[in-house]
Amino acid sequence: MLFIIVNPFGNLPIMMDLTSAFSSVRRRQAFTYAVLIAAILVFAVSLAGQQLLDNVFHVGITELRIMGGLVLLVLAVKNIVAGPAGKKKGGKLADIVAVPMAFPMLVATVSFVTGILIMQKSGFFVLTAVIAAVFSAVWLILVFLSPLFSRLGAANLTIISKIMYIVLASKAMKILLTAIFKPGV
Amino acid sequence: MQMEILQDILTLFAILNPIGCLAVVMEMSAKMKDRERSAMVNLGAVAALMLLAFFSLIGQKLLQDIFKISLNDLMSAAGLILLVISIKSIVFERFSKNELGSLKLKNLGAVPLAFPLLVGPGALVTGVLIVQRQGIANSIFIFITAILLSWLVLRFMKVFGKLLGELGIKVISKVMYVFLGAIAVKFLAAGISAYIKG
Repeated sequence: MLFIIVNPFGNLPIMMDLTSAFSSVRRRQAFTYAVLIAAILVFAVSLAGQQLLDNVFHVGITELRIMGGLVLLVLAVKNIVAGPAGKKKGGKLADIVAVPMAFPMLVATVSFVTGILIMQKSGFFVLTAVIAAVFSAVWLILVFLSPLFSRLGAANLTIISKIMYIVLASKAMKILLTAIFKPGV
Repeated sequence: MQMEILQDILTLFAILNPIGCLAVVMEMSAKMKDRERSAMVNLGAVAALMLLAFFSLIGQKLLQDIFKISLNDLMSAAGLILLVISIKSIVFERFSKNELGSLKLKNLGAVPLAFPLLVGPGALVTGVLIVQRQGIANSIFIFITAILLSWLVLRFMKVFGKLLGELGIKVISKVMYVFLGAIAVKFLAAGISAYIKG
């Protein structure tokens, strides 16, 4: 369940595009960090749950969803419209691994809610096991599929990632509009 | 139904915007012989059609089965994307100098002509949308017609170039983007209002 929500297959082309300026070693590093941060995030939020949101930041799950939706939307539209930019700047690892790669691409509100549910239903140990298993699998997929994708060639990769950005934009719209007009769902 | 198909053909033609491409393609192919140029245009049009059809069909499967995205979500996202593209193209240029520079480095062949000059992301999203609304058979017909129209414009680019002049090309291309922007607003509004009603 959590694995489907994290969706490594769908995210991979976009993460490849975001890291297109990196060498393969640094890309693997970036993916590792992103998965790690995502796992820690889900773990922490599942444990602390609603408490943290309500008492520390004073925001609800709806605000978090709208925020996540907006980040995804801006990311998608920017990369769709920007077209074939010239050489991308090198870019720092730290600029992309946490946001947007870990949150909201890999994990977002749905994953948090799922984590909180697992915690309530099955307890701490199951939650730990589930998160460890899911994110190891995600990491393996990201790291081992990315060389395959590189072999497709730059032109094909550009086209595929544009398609995925369109999907991402639609997903962002869905999150955003659902959060605004149907906050209960 | 026929009106809708015609409308979709025009929308797709507006986003393919071959008239807007004319200036760029003419400049890039200035040193080519006539035969080379028409071969390039033929190849580019075929590649554009295949790209558009292939990814629109795949895109639909992707959206429905894997990502569970409804027509309304896609419509509002497509509206937003097309709106940003058309505003950018009206206020600035469709492709900035930087972007054009990186295009010209490559050989002019099927790749820059088919993607991203003719079939860019805007055309892809429109394609996916058309497949969702019209079904596969009708959309193939729409794709072929729109690409055929674009091919005609490019194939006889010299005639069009002379007929319209540089100013004419610019004016037509900008006006096309105004209509495209209006269509985009329609998509966006329809997608959002479905959420409010539902």
